[in-house]
Amino acid sequence: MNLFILKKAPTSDAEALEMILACAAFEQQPSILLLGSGIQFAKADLGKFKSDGKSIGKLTSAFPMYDIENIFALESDAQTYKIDKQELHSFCKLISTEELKKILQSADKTISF
Amino acid sequence: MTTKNLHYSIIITQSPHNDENNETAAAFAAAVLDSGHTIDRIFFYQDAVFTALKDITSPQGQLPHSHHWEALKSNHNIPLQVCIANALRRGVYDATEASRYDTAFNLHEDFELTGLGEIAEALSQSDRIITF
Repeated sequence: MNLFILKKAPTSDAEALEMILACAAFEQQPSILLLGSGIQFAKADLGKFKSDGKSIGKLTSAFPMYDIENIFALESDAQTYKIDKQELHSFCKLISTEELKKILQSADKTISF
Repeated sequence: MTTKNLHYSIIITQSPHNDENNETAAAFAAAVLDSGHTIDRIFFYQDAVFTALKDITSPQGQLPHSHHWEALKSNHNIPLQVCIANALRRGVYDATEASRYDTAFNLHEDFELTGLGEIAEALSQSDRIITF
Protein backbone atom coordinates (compact mmCIF):
# COMPACT_ATOMS: atom_id res chain seq x y z
CA MET A 1 0.00 0.00 0.00
CA ASN A 2 1.25 3.48 -0.90
CA LEU A 3 0.19 5.63 2.02
CA PHE A 4 -0.03 9.41 2.11
CA ILE A 5 -0.21 10.87 5.60
CA LEU A 6 -1.65 14.35 6.06
CA LYS A 7 -0.98 15.70 9.54
CA LYS A 8 -1.76 19.38 9.19
CA ALA A 9 -5.03 21.21 8.76
CA PRO A 10 -5.83 22.26 5.19
CA THR A 11 -4.75 25.69 4.03
CA SER A 12 -4.92 27.50 0.71
CA ASP A 13 -2.04 25.29 -0.44
CA ALA A 14 -3.52 22.25 -2.21
CA GLU A 15 -0.18 20.81 -3.21
CA ALA A 16 -0.37 17.73 -1.00
CA LEU A 17 -3.67 16.84 -2.64
CA GLU A 18 -2.22 17.53 -6.08
CA MET A 19 0.51 14.97 -5.46
CA ILE A 20 -2.01 12.39 -4.28
CA LEU A 21 -4.27 12.90 -7.28
CA ALA A 22 -1.32 12.80 -9.67
CA CYS A 23 -0.15 9.50 -8.19
CA ALA A 24 -3.69 8.14 -8.51
CA ALA A 25 -3.75 9.24 -12.15
CA PHE A 26 -0.53 7.27 -12.64
CA GLU A 27 -2.29 4.23 -11.13
CA GLN A 28 -0.22 4.11 -7.95
CA GLN A 29 -3.39 3.52 -5.89
CA PRO A 30 -2.67 5.90 -3.03
CA SER A 31 -4.30 5.41 0.35
CA ILE A 32 -4.72 8.40 2.64
CA LEU A 33 -4.33 8.64 6.39
CA LEU A 34 -5.50 11.86 8.04
CA LEU A 35 -3.94 12.41 11.45
CA GLY A 36 -4.44 15.14 14.01
CA SER A 37 -5.76 18.32 12.46
CA GLY A 38 -5.36 16.64 9.07
CA ILE A 39 -8.78 15.08 9.68
CA GLN A 40 -10.24 18.35 8.50
CA PHE A 41 -9.35 17.41 4.92
CA ALA A 42 -12.20 14.93 5.16
CA LYS A 43 -14.82 17.57 5.87
CA ALA A 44 -17.27 17.63 3.01
CA ASP A 45 -18.00 21.36 3.19
CA LEU A 46 -14.48 22.74 2.77
CA GLY A 47 -14.39 25.60 0.31
CA LYS A 48 -11.67 27.90 -0.96
CA PHE A 49 -9.22 29.47 1.43
CA LYS A 50 -8.65 32.41 -0.84
CA SER A 51 -10.87 33.98 -3.45
CA ASP A 52 -8.86 32.76 -6.44
CA GLY A 53 -7.74 29.49 -4.92
CA LYS A 54 -8.82 25.91 -5.38
CA SER A 55 -11.70 24.47 -3.37
CA ILE A 56 -10.18 21.85 -1.10
CA GLY A 57 -13.60 20.22 -0.71
CA LYS A 58 -13.96 19.80 -4.48
CA LEU A 59 -10.52 18.21 -4.70
CA THR A 60 -11.22 15.75 -1.92
CA SER A 61 -14.68 14.93 -3.26
CA ALA A 62 -12.91 13.76 -6.44
CA PHE A 63 -11.10 10.94 -4.63
CA PRO A 64 -13.62 8.25 -5.68
CA MET A 65 -13.34 9.38 -9.30
CA TYR A 66 -9.60 8.69 -9.07
CA ASP A 67 -10.29 5.27 -7.53
CA ILE A 68 -8.87 6.43 -4.21
CA GLU A 69 -10.85 4.16 -1.94
CA ASN A 70 -8.94 4.07 1.33
CA ILE A 71 -9.23 7.32 3.25
CA PHE A 72 -8.79 6.91 6.98
CA ALA A 73 -9.08 9.22 9.97
CA LEU A 74 -8.94 8.47 13.68
CA GLU A 75 -12.11 8.29 15.76
CA SER A 76 -10.16 9.96 18.56
CA ASP A 77 -9.24 12.90 16.31
CA ALA A 78 -12.88 13.34 15.35
CA GLN A 79 -13.66 13.64 19.06
CA THR A 80 -10.72 15.97 19.72
CA TYR A 81 -11.70 18.33 16.92
CA LYS A 82 -15.42 17.91 17.62
CA ILE A 83 -16.19 16.70 14.13
CA ASP A 84 -19.31 14.64 13.67
CA LYS A 85 -19.13 11.74 11.23
CA GLN A 86 -21.95 13.37 9.28
CA GLU A 87 -19.63 16.29 8.47
CA LEU A 88 -17.13 14.04 6.76
CA HIS A 89 -17.13 12.69 3.22
CA SER A 90 -19.04 9.41 3.23
CA PHE A 91 -15.97 7.59 1.86
CA CYS A 92 -13.82 8.54 4.87
CA LYS A 93 -13.50 5.67 7.33
CA LEU A 94 -13.07 6.46 11.01
CA ILE A 95 -10.66 3.96 12.55
CA SER A 96 -9.44 2.98 15.99
CA THR A 97 -5.86 3.20 17.22
CA GLU A 98 -5.50 -0.55 16.76
CA GLU A 99 -6.63 -0.30 13.16
CA LEU A 100 -4.15 2.58 12.69
CA LYS A 101 -1.29 0.32 13.75
CA LYS A 102 -2.31 -2.30 11.18
CA ILE A 103 -2.54 0.30 8.43
CA LEU A 104 0.91 1.67 9.20
CA GLN A 105 2.38 -1.84 9.34
CA SER A 106 0.89 -2.73 5.99
CA ALA A 107 2.17 0.35 4.18
CA ASP A 108 4.96 -0.33 1.69
CA LYS A 109 5.85 3.33 1.24
CA THR A 110 4.66 6.48 2.95
CA ILE A 111 4.81 10.13 2.00
CA SER A 112 4.01 12.61 4.78
CA PHE A 113 2.82 16.19 4.70
CA MET B 1 25.84 -11.67 5.25
CA THR B 2 25.37 -9.29 2.34
CA THR B 3 22.99 -6.37 2.68
CA LYS B 4 20.65 -5.78 -0.21
CA ASN B 5 21.27 -2.54 -2.05
CA LEU B 6 18.14 -0.48 -1.51
CA HIS B 7 16.89 2.27 -3.77
CA TYR B 8 15.78 5.46 -2.07
CA SER B 9 13.82 8.47 -3.24
CA ILE B 10 13.97 11.53 -1.02
CA ILE B 11 11.28 14.22 -1.04
CA ILE B 12 11.90 17.61 0.53
CA THR B 13 8.99 19.98 1.14
CA GLN B 14 10.34 22.70 3.39
CA SER B 15 12.00 25.96 2.43
CA PRO B 16 15.79 25.91 2.96
CA HIS B 17 15.46 29.25 4.72
CA ASN B 18 12.94 28.24 7.37
CA ASP B 19 14.50 25.30 9.12
CA GLU B 20 17.18 22.69 8.94
CA ASN B 21 15.29 20.09 6.90
CA ASN B 22 17.53 20.60 3.89
CA GLU B 23 20.63 19.98 5.99
CA THR B 24 19.10 16.93 7.62
CA ALA B 25 18.02 15.53 4.28
CA ALA B 26 21.49 16.07 2.82
CA ALA B 27 23.09 14.34 5.80
CA PHE B 28 20.65 11.46 5.43
CA ALA B 29 21.39 11.18 1.72
CA ALA B 30 25.12 11.03 2.42
CA ALA B 31 24.56 8.30 5.02
CA VAL B 32 22.45 6.29 2.58
CA LEU B 33 25.20 6.42 0.00
CA ASP B 34 27.91 5.61 2.56
CA SER B 35 25.91 2.50 3.48
CA GLY B 36 26.12 1.29 -0.09
CA HIS B 37 22.56 2.05 -1.13
CA THR B 38 21.34 3.97 -4.15
CA ILE B 39 19.43 7.23 -4.35
CA ASP B 40 17.12 7.34 -7.33
CA ARG B 41 16.20 11.00 -6.97
CA ILE B 42 15.93 14.00 -4.70
CA PHE B 43 12.55 15.64 -5.32
CA PHE B 44 11.99 19.24 -4.23
CA TYR B 45 8.33 20.04 -3.58
CA GLN B 46 6.39 23.02 -2.21
CA ASP B 47 8.73 25.65 -0.71
CA ALA B 48 11.73 23.36 -1.09
CA VAL B 49 11.88 24.49 -4.74
CA PHE B 50 13.66 27.63 -3.46
CA THR B 51 16.70 25.41 -2.89
CA ALA B 52 17.16 25.36 -6.65
CA LEU B 53 17.59 29.10 -7.15
CA LYS B 54 20.91 29.88 -8.78
CA ASP B 55 21.64 33.42 -7.67
CA ILE B 56 21.57 33.14 -3.91
CA THR B 57 23.95 35.40 -1.99
CA SER B 58 24.61 33.65 1.28
CA PRO B 59 25.75 35.50 4.40
CA GLN B 60 29.50 35.76 4.72
CA GLY B 61 31.03 32.47 5.76
CA GLN B 62 27.99 30.41 4.77
CA LEU B 63 27.55 28.25 1.71
CA PRO B 64 24.36 28.41 -0.37
CA HIS B 65 21.74 25.78 0.46
CA SER B 66 22.24 24.19 -2.93
CA HIS B 67 25.84 23.37 -2.00
CA HIS B 68 25.01 19.99 -0.44
CA TRP B 69 23.00 18.93 -3.43
CA GLU B 70 25.56 20.13 -5.98
CA ALA B 71 28.09 17.79 -4.36
CA LEU B 72 25.68 14.84 -4.57
CA LYS B 73 24.99 15.60 -8.18
CA SER B 74 28.66 16.02 -9.01
CA ASN B 75 29.91 12.94 -7.15
CA HIS B 76 27.01 10.53 -7.66
CA ASN B 77 24.98 11.94 -10.54
CA ILE B 78 21.79 11.88 -8.48
CA PRO B 79 18.88 13.62 -10.24
CA LEU B 80 17.88 16.81 -8.45
CA GLN B 81 14.25 17.17 -9.48
CA VAL B 82 12.11 20.24 -8.85
CA CYS B 83 8.33 20.02 -9.24
CA ILE B 84 7.59 22.21 -12.24
CA ALA B 85 4.13 23.35 -11.09
CA ASN B 86 5.36 24.31 -7.63
CA ALA B 87 8.41 26.04 -9.11
CA LEU B 88 6.44 28.18 -11.53
CA ARG B 89 4.04 29.21 -8.76
CA ARG B 90 7.03 30.47 -6.80
CA GLY B 91 8.83 32.16 -9.66
CA VAL B 92 11.50 29.54 -10.26
CA TYR B 93 12.13 29.10 -13.99
CA ASP B 94 14.42 27.07 -16.17
CA ALA B 95 15.40 28.46 -19.58
CA THR B 96 12.47 26.83 -21.37
CA GLU B 97 9.82 28.06 -18.97
CA ALA B 98 11.46 31.49 -18.73
CA SER B 99 11.19 31.78 -22.50
CA ARG B 100 7.58 30.59 -22.42
CA TYR B 101 6.61 33.15 -19.79
CA ASP B 102 8.97 35.88 -21.03
CA THR B 103 10.92 36.19 -17.85
CA ALA B 104 14.46 35.52 -16.61
CA PHE B 105 15.56 32.00 -15.82
CA ASN B 106 16.90 31.41 -12.33
CA LEU B 107 17.11 27.64 -11.91
CA HIS B 108 20.51 26.36 -10.83
CA GLU B 109 22.10 24.29 -13.59
CA ASP B 110 22.33 21.14 -11.46
CA PHE B 111 18.56 21.01 -10.94
CA GLU B 112 15.83 20.09 -13.41
CA LEU B 113 12.12 20.86 -13.56
CA THR B 114 10.04 17.69 -13.68
CA GLY B 115 6.48 16.58 -13.16
CA LEU B 116 4.73 14.54 -10.50
CA GLY B 117 5.16 11.50 -12.68
CA GLU B 118 8.53 11.20 -10.95
CA ILE B 119 6.76 10.59 -7.64
CA ALA B 120 4.67 7.90 -9.29
CA GLU B 121 7.93 6.42 -10.57
CA ALA B 122 9.36 6.57 -7.05
CA LEU B 123 6.33 4.76 -5.64
CA SER B 124 6.65 2.15 -8.34
CA GLN B 125 10.42 1.64 -8.43
CA SER B 126 12.13 2.83 -5.24
CA ASP B 127 12.34 0.60 -2.18
CA ARG B 128 12.05 3.48 0.26
CA ILE B 129 10.65 7.00 0.10
CA ILE B 130 11.73 9.42 2.82
CA THR B 131 10.05 12.80 3.23
CA PHE B 132 11.73 15.75 4.91
